[in-house]
Amino acid sequence: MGLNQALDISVSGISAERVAMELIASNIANINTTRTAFGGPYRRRIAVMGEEPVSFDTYLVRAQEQVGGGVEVVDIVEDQSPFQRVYKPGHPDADAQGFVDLPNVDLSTEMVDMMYASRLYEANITAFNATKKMMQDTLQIQ
Amino acid sequence: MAEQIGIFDEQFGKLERAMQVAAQRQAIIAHNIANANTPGYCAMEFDEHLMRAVERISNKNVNLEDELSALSKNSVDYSSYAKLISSRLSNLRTIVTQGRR
Repeated sequence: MGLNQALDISVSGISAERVAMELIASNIANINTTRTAFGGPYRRRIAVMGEEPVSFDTYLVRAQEQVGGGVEVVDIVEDQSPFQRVYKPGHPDADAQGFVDLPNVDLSTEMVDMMYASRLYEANITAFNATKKMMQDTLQIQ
Repeated sequence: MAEQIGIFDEQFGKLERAMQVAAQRQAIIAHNIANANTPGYCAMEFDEHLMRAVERISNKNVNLEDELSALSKNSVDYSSYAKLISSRLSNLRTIVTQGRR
């Protein structure tokens, strides 16, 4: 009930933002990758967040409260926007005209996304700590 | 809610209920913060009258500042309820020990 559920929700938020941060790190690390296991250059990956569905049991218990189970990463999708075409005739992956397809990763976008994910990570931790403080206050009743 | 038994008056029940409501509101605020990045998510708030979470109509997306201020307010509310219960208990303790302690 109540406080324990609030803790679980904050933890789900923290881990979802961590996954988002991992993907951003992977995007930045692969900013120049032209060869992947699937062939072709690396495609930018994005985490799609979704409200965590409540299982049937907990749904019965929570029927009156109607709070979901926090957040989860429902899918990791590849950004389908076009690759950057850069003229690099000496590059082994260059085509006949000397152009290389570089990943569709834009450093400034990744930095902004990273700031956002990191702030949300902090916000979830703040919520977690506030709930923890409330639990401690309950134990202080005497 | 606690029954009114002997020396415990109805204020105890009310404070207990207030703490339960604050705990539920905490879960809702945590849920809003966790879903700040969820596409199409409508922020929720706790309806005191319905005693359940309802979708907020005014602003659809989660406003992080609003949620964090609600979070600290709720946390302070909860602490004060806990303190009030403590002080009432301490009053009762003084009475039952005839002020000796």
